[in-house]
Amino acid sequence: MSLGVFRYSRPNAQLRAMISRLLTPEQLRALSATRDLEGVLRSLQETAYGPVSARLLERGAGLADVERAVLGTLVEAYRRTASLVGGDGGRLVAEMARRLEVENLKAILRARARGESPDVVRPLLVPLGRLSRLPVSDLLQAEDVDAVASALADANYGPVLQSALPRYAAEGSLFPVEIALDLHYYRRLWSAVQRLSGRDLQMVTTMMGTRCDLLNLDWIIRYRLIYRLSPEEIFNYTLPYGHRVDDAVVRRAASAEGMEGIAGAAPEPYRSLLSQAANAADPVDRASVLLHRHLVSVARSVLAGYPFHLGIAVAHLWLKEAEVHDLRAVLEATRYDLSPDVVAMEMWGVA
Amino acid sequence: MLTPVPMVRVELLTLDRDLAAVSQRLGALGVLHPVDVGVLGHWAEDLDWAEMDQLAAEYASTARRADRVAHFLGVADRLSAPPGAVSPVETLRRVGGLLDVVEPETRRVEERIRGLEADLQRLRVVEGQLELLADVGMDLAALRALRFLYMVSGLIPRENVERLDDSLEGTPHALLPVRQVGSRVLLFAIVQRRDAELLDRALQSAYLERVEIPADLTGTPRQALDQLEGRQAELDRRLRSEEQERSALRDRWDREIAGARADLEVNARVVRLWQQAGRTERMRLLVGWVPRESRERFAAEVATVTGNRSVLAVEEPAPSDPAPGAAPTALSNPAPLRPFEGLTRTYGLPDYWDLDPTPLAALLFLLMFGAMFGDVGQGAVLAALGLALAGGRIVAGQRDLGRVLVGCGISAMVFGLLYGSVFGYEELIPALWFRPLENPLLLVAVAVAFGIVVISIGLVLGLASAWRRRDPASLFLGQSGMLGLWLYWGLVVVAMLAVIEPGRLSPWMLVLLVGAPLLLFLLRRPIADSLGWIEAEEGASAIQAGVEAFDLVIRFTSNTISFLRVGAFALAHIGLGLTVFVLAELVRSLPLASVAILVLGNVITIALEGLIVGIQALRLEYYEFFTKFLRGGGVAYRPFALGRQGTESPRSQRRD
Repeated sequence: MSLGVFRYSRPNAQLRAMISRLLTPEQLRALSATRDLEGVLRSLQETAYGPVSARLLERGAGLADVERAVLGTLVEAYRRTASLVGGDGGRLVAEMARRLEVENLKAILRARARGESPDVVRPLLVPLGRLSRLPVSDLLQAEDVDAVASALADANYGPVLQSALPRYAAEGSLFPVEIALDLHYYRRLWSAVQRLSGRDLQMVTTMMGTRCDLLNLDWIIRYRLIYRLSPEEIFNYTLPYGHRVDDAVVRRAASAEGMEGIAGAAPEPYRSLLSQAANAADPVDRASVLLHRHLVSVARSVLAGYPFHLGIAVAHLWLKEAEVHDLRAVLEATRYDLSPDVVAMEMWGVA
Repeated sequence: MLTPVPMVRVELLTLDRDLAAVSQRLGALGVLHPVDVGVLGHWAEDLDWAEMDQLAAEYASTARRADRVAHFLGVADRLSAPPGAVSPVETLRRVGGLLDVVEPETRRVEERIRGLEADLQRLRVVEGQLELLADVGMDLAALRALRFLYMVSGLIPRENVERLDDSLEGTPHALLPVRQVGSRVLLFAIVQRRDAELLDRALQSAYLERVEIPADLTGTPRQALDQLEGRQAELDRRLRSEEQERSALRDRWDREIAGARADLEVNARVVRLWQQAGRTERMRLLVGWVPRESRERFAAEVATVTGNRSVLAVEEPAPSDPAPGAAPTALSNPAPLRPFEGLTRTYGLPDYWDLDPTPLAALLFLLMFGAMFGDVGQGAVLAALGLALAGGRIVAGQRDLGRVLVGCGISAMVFGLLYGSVFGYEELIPALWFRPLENPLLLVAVAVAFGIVVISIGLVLGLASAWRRRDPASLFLGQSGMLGLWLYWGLVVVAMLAVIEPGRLSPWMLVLLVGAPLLLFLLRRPIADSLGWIEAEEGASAIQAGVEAFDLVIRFTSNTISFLRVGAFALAHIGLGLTVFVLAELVRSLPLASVAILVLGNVITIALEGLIVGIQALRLEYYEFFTKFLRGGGVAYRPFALGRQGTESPRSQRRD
């Protein structure tokens, strides 16, 4: 215990300061009622986003610029957290940040598949700076999806793309490629978790296991209800890790009929959440939101407990991820003029 | 020597038509560390430099084409000739034209070679399949037409095999991994024919790439293997023929491609320089850093090449300069100290406003190493090894390491004389100071006293660093400022009195030496805020200040105690030597064995303990010393230069 106190007393104090600057559920609710971009930026001036929003207002920035700036704060949170915790913890945080790199890679692959100009895609990429070694400029100039894979042949993604591209060639869809990238990312993340020790290992294994539970259930629902995949395919497209959702649960859920069936196969607390979603107009999206809200509540409960371990950093990043998701929902709402109720329904951090 | 090379910022406004000539001259001069003109702030935002991004993208694309051709042909990198005239647009056009001719020829051969290699790999996979079936006497045609079983083979990512197996639970199946092929595994999967569709979907979702045994292979698997051998020989023959074609192409285009790549490389550097320049209708603005001592020469060269048709503004750096365009760091130490710059760089390149700790780091490292490894004989061996390395006689490219080893060896010899130790013998020579084993308490006391001196020097350097940065908050109230120094020496005095003369410790003394600086430390943010030294931080609560104060006291204490290891390792070193002698004594009746143990024991001590002691000395420097004053995160000074050794400062080197 004493080692944890020494190691985490300083990072914990600084992380708490960063957490105190996150948007509160009340602030998020208030933002969801804002109908235009300028109004959102003005509301954000009273928050930790103050300096960013003032700059954006001064420049008369558009929606894409604002979204990019919001994503920039997430990248900064990853960067600062990684340098705060250092060591194996810092490496885990850097590994977590690679999810954004994977999203960038998917965006580039989609653009190359559609033959879009680099100028169209570049603004959509998360500005990762030193957190990513992806040769973005080269990838954006690549002729097609195969050329992107060739450019990454010697990188971490090389073998994954090599295995998945024959399916892209055969089916003309990036769906299997994106799944392969996701599975690869979470395999690496889980390996990074297993390199931790002591209380860090115990806490983060439970937390990441919960995140894998959520992902597996979210994916199973989509594969089963939208893509109509077979149980064997679903099993192969899910993660072999989890906290409460093990292989037996995945197998049962993958064979279940409808949202009620999947809910019945899932353990608590997911069963209740999915049963609740089953009655919604769009059960798939509702289930995803409820599962992510559960993750936010897990992060908050971690923050309320013993403070000197790496779980605090992970919880902080989950809350930051949720905040960025919610802000993007608010920004989307200004584009499509969605009602505050609809926006609030999509938010993860308001529960 | 204790500060990085002083720099000045130059802003050079030159006519568009003079830009190429200016760039060439600057490249030859090699002193300008360019930065993006955007660092100049608002007024530079209206300048247009996007056109250069397009040119840079075309350069990157052409360089990739040239690299690909060169890689395929095996053309060596030859950037040795002095660069010709700077002409980025003309060079791009010329090299593009050359590649338009060469590429189609190389691509045809490359595609044929790739196709043949892929065919060969496929045959090797089939060979693996047939070898697995070799003992089955059945005809392949019969195997392909199994009535009750369904068999698929192919390559699958290694990590997916177990998951695939689990996914088929409940379905009778057999998975037979045969051999590793790159990052994948050749796998046979067999189920009952009625489960064929289920297996196909499972294999597809496990990313199995099917590899079937070609239909034209007939007979039993052994007969098919014979047929396969013939095909492989034919493919090998065709591959050799294509390789000859590749050699012919290399002979034909070698010189042109190497020259084109060299020209591309030089001109690409110029384009990267121009990318960072601003542009008005007829003028270009270059911004960068130049060593202060070179500014006169820089100005004179620019005036000469432009015929005085340019404007040059020179500014001194300021600590408030924005990070992306802040002054770069160039370390400047006398030649004997340069090998030790690696110690500093490994920790982190000093920021321009940091002090360069290399001279002190070198001295402390050698002192600590010698104190922990004091032995005349072993030190001499280490010094000899260092001399050999420095002369490039053992491993090339390790001269700096060799010079550091020479220093370590000499330091160990000096301490060996002080301790009276030669190859572990403690009776051979008298100790000029004292023998550590006879007086371990003195050794421990000296080690801790040394630690107090080192930490105090670190804190004083922290003061000097804050002074250079014109940062009053850190200077007066920082952990490594006056307040930190007050608290540290307060703790030292209190600890010394508590050990030597506890009766003299009074409550007032405790308040003055420890209580007062701690209280000020707790209140440092509000104080600094009220004096206008910092902006109040949201969320920087009293609890945080309390935790930081507690952390500081613990760190000061642990930093000082950490120096006990200097004494502990000195004792361990002598203890290890004694162990060797005891072992040698045990086999005294066998003189050869005794000598072998002595030699081997000393070799192990030098190699193993030398490494451990080096790591400990480094650790003490980094954690107990550097952390007091060195922030790191500096940007290396990379002047724009044309020629083989030249580097430039691309946009990607901006600091976060």
